[in-house]
Amino acid sequence: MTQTRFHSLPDGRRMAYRYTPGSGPALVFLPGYMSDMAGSKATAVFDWAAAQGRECLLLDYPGCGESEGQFRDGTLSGWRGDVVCLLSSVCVHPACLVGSSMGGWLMLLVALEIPMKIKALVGIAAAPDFTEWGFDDEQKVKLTAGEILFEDNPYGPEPTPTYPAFWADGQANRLLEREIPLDCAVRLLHGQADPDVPWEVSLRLAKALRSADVQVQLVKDGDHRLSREQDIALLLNMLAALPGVP
Amino acid sequence: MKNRLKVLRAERNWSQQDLADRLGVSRQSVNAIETGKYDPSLPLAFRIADLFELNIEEIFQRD
Repeated sequence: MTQTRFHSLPDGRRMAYRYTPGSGPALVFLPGYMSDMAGSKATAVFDWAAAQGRECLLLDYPGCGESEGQFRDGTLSGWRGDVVCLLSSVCVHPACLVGSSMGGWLMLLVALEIPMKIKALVGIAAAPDFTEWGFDDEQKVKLTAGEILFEDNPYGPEPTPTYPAFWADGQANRLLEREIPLDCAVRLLHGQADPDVPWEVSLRLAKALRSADVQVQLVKDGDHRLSREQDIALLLNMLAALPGVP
Repeated sequence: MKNRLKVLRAERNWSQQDLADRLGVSRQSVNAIETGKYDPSLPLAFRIADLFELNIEEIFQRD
């Protein structure tokens, strides 16, 4: 297994990553909310890339996994800057961002920041704008008032917190209400049995993207994790078939 | 708080997901405990101790 390395961000925090060199575009995996690079999808993408001789980068957002920092300090725009910094320092080739859940929102924000360095986007149950559609009015009132929201969540340490700063930053970075000015290839994979991120979000995203090269693949019995053997095989096939891949 | 979860898991050749399934928690919870980002609740700490047939203080230590 390739060892975890650490990259020092401009403010001194150390960000954990795993990297394997190879041909481009570089596959860069962006995990979901409170997730990390040790997950089965990230690991499968990394192992596949290494076997194929493809450049690949896995990372833990500051405050998550092995990276330094506090999760309560994390915001999408903060992590966007951290990802851009790491990617620019480590990757040799332009990138294909693979974003899972919240990582599927972050990949769009990163691509909007450095469009010339992004060849393609792959969303797995991508969750853009979840601060808007993922919370009811009562929860939004609490968050607006500066309260921390705690919810039962099967994907993270229970109870899973939402911090007011994260939520407000998410609201300021919503994307689905207007055209998203990205022109690269985009592939979206979504399970129709996903109880957390409705698959219709992927259709809304496909519609909002300016790019004409957008494809959505739905898995009727797929859940939010899409980590079953057949789901991962589908994901790897999708990566192998991306335009621009030798 | 420090813990030996990663070592105990590696000794059994379990992935984070394997351990998470045995404990009835998410893989992310196991990762967060191993990296010291999250201190488990007391009931979860007892479940971990029972699973490894150890005392809690043999798995978790003060910094």
